[in-house]
Amino acid sequence: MVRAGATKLLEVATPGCVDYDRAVAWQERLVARRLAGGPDALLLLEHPPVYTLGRSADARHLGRAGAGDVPVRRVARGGQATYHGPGQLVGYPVVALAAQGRDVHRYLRALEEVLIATIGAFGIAAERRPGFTGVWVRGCKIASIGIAVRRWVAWHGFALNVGRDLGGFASITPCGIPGVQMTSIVREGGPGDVAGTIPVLVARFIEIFGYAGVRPLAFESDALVPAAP
Amino acid sequence: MTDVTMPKLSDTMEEGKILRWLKQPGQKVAIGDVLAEVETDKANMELEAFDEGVLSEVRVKEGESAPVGAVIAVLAPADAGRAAPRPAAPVPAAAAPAAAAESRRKPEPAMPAKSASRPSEAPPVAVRGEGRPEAARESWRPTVVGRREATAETEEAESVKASPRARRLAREHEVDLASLAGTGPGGRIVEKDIEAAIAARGTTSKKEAAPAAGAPRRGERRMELSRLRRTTAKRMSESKREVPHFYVSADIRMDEAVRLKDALAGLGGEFEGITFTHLVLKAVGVALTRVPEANASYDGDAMVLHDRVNVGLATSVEQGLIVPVVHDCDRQPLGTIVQQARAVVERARAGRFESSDLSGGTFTLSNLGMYPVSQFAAVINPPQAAILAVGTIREVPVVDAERVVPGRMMTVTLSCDHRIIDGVIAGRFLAEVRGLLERPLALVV
Repeated sequence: MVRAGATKLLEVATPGCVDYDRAVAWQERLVARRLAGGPDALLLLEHPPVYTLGRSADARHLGRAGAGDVPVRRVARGGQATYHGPGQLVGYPVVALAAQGRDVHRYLRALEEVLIATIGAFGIAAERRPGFTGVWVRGCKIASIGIAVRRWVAWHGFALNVGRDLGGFASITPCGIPGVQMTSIVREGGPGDVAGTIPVLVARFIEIFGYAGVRPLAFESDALVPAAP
Repeated sequence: MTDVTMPKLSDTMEEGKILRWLKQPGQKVAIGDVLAEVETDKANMELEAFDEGVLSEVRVKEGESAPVGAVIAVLAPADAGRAAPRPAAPVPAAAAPAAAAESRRKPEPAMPAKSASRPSEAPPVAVRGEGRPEAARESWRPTVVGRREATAETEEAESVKASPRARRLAREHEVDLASLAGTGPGGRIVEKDIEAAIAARGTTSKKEAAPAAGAPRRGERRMELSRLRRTTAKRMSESKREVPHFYVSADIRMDEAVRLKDALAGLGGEFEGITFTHLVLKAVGVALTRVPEANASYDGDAMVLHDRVNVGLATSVEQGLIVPVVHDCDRQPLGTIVQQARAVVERARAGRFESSDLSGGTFTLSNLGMYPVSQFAAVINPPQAAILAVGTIREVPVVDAERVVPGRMMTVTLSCDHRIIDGVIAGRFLAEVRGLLERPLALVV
């Protein structure tokens, strides 16, 4: 990615486990703030179990899951059906693509690069599969990507499987690709700790997108509270 | 009438899919309203109106794709549109005008492609459209505005049904679509038909007989090399062809160097921004004075030993690879090296280097430690005799006083010109570098 933000800081929020709807509301606020000239931000969190359907998803991809206890949300991101749950590091970068070359594909490739480098830091060789956005290890999917763009500000983002329990995927057709096998960092022999993955991912993110550094960002009863630098 | 065209959201985007229309034919549209959601790869883009009016026609249905630049909808002026809304007459994406697809190859002011390479955000300018500062400063809008000119050519093109890929292939190989019978659904011309037509022309086709050097194949893009990259290509070829390279590696324990770097970084001042590259620069500078044979050049029947120790830093910039030089790495204190190296690299990256910045190098350092690169071998930068390739610092078990303990290890690889450097010289040089980095206080005092 060509960077322009070498002097810019990235605001990073790590609020822990957050309800899906609430995370969407936070992103909406961050997008509005970015459109008004605010900084780029990165939300890193886990969700309680939830199935989400991208705009181009076929509800049939949910299989049995659609009728279960786990909530289902239809969302404005690209991509198909996926599952989020504990043990998965979900990232929502709210990034102005104007500063990153105004190229949606290039941005998707850069997100893949961040994920590949993060996974690589644990000694796991991950790769792209041309035509199948996301990150793969030995033919199994380890991270999914789906973004939305509003006036050249990107939101939604990626989900990186960290922990062992991938049960939520069992009943759906993730990403609309029949027969896709999911894997995770712990299943590939790495540490299965979401909290420990966060600093590695942040370091790769600021490096690949060319930020000068990080400033913590917190949410208090849904209001944005940038911490003092 | 104002055309709404498929926006180009990426240099590599060829077509986009309409996920849904948020406005229906007959509905009023204000500037900034979201007309539709467009999908490319795994990204959804909200397509906004940059003109007001009434949506009079939707040409690409939800779930269908159209090539970049193709007309996907038409806006009528607000008054006229209400009086006589044109009936919605969606045409299949396949029939998108060839003229629109053609326009991808030409610079088109309304397309985003040109602004895509802007390195940074433009400063905010006067706001047009209340409460939309960012929208107002965009140099383009996803909704492309242009007068409709239904020429005979587009009408003709529209009457031939062909897939976007087929159209592109036909254009590249100068195949006349009208002369073909399609084998796709409903007589649609598909890629296979064009390939068959090309094959049928046999060897008489110029393009088949001798593909032009400048013509990229399908599925490939041809990017002209920058001047810098051409120079790099030439010099690297020469080096690998002329210089008999051999490679010698060493593992260096970096535990002390890590502590030192952190401590110095905490001091700030002249050490502000210190990196491992700077420590290695200083270590290499000192080691080259102790093993001067490595600070040399091959010159026919002679070996030229350099008095000065000027170490180049292989640096990646947008146009290619350059090697800004930090002068007198042996004599300058570490803090000065930190500042000089940062300044020279920054100038080089910004393309504002002074002539001395790129000249006088006697040795080169290539550091990929910021990537998960454990070790690599670099190509010598002639007429220098050696280059040191530096990998990342890894946490590994090491044997220390007969116990296995965690340690930080960095592997460096020296590429040597065997015409003047032998393995013994390489070994002595690496021993010096290793000693300096493992007991790095000597680098500061």
